Amino acid sequence: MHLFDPSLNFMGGYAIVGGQFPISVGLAFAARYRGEDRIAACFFGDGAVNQGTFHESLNWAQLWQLPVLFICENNFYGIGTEVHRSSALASIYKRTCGYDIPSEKVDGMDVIAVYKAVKYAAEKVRESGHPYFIEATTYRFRGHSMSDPAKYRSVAEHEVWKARDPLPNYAKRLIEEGIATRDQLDAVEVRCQAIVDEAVKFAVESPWPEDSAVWEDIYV
Amino acid sequence: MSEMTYRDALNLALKEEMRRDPSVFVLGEDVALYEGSFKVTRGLLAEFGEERVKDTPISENTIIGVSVGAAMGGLRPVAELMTVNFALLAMDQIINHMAKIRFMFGGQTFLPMTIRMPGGGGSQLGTQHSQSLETYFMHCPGMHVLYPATPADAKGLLKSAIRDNNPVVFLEHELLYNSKGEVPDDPEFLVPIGKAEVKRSGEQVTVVGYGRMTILALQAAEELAGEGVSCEVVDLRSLAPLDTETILASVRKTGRVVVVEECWRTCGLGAEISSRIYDACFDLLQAPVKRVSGLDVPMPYSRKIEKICIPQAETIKQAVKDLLNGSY
Repeated sequence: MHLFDPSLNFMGGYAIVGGQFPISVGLAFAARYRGEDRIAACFFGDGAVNQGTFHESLNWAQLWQLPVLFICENNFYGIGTEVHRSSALASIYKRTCGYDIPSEKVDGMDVIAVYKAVKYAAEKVRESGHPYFIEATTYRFRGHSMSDPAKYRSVAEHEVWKARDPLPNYAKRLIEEGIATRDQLDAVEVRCQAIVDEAVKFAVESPWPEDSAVWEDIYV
Repeated sequence: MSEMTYRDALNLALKEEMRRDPSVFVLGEDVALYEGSFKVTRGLLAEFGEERVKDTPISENTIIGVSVGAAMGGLRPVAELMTVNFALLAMDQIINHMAKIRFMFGGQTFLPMTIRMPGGGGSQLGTQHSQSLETYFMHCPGMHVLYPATPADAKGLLKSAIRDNNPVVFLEHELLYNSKGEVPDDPEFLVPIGKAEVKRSGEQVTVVGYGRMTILALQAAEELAGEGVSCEVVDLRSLAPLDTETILASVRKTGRVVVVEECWRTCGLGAEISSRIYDACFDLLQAPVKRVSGLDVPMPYSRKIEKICIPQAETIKQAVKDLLNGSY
């Protein structure tokens, strides 16, 4: 839940919905303050856009003219509540007009469309130093967590979206256009599986921490 | 040494640290153009400019969240929340983020940030502007909590807070801003975090205070001295980490202790300090630990009954006398 790797400029996964909005704004401010050519990319779901921090941070990013790229992954469900049942305006990208932040909606199931939209947006944010907003529509193929059987969704709905699964569809397109062969893609999958297997093995085989570790990394 | 007010001591601390370290910047509601609701940030905008002295929207949770991000991004934010009461709007960023980030990311980052919060009661500002919430912050690990009583400590502690690599909640009492005292001129004068100070030496009763409560305790001790009672006053200065050793050393000497807290009595810091004293030197106590506390009520507006909700020098004196008379 709390992944973090500053060596990759990956500044954290947060388990409070909407907690990352102001932190992204602060990171963008630090970059500008220090004269660094960096932008902050802030990822969140449709469930986060009704938190106060969403509105406070969009207002703030535009007010201070900070290079933040807001990317909403709208999978239409905040745990079990559909976006239409939580948002008065379910077209999330339209909400930014209240803060005068340019925004666009992209098909989040289309790899190339997402790549192009984000590339364009990132360049725009970098050049202008101002915020930009992308809503990518997508779907969550499983429940919210291990304990969620996702009974609030119909099988028919699930099947419509499953047919649009970006991974097999993109693979199919690469093969059809002669960019990659089935064997090459299978090899990629094998490599990815090996990385995951290795990580799981490392986790399972690592020793439990010493009790004294509970006092570590709280204060500098 | 120069005589100056608590307000000017804080102001000087900010200026010195901003001159010393270009990564220090100030943000908050009305801190720049308006120079702060209590004028603690007077002159900062003129000297340091708009990128280092930032007015913000009235978005307390985001003021702290932006500070968290900026601190992770290599800066040293000094955020002002206009009053401690508004910190309740920012508790998600303070408790769930600021105080947790170093721990939950395995020590891979740190947050060198300070949040200044004026607070306390006694100005007839009504129930939503008069709270003393120090124990709310003390309760949560992952940050330091400081509360100076004098101009010298205000300056030395704020400078230490800004230089510290941990998040610091820095509480200031609104009724102390105009109080005056001698402050060392040395720009390297720092008051260590986590060290209480014996502000007055005495023999019969220890009085533990912090912030404005220390000032009232000193006043009570002075008046009691005229009546032949000798009090030792321990000023906590740092509420977290709490300097238990300095408290215990004094209690071992006097055998009697009054803890003065402006916050509500229930689950207040007086209860915590009492418990630590009982744990460490129960056998040496000549009387139970006495608490002089804020009343467990929302602060009323009326001056007459507001006064009875907040410890006064008179109530502290009475508590000391009660201890000595055995009427507890």
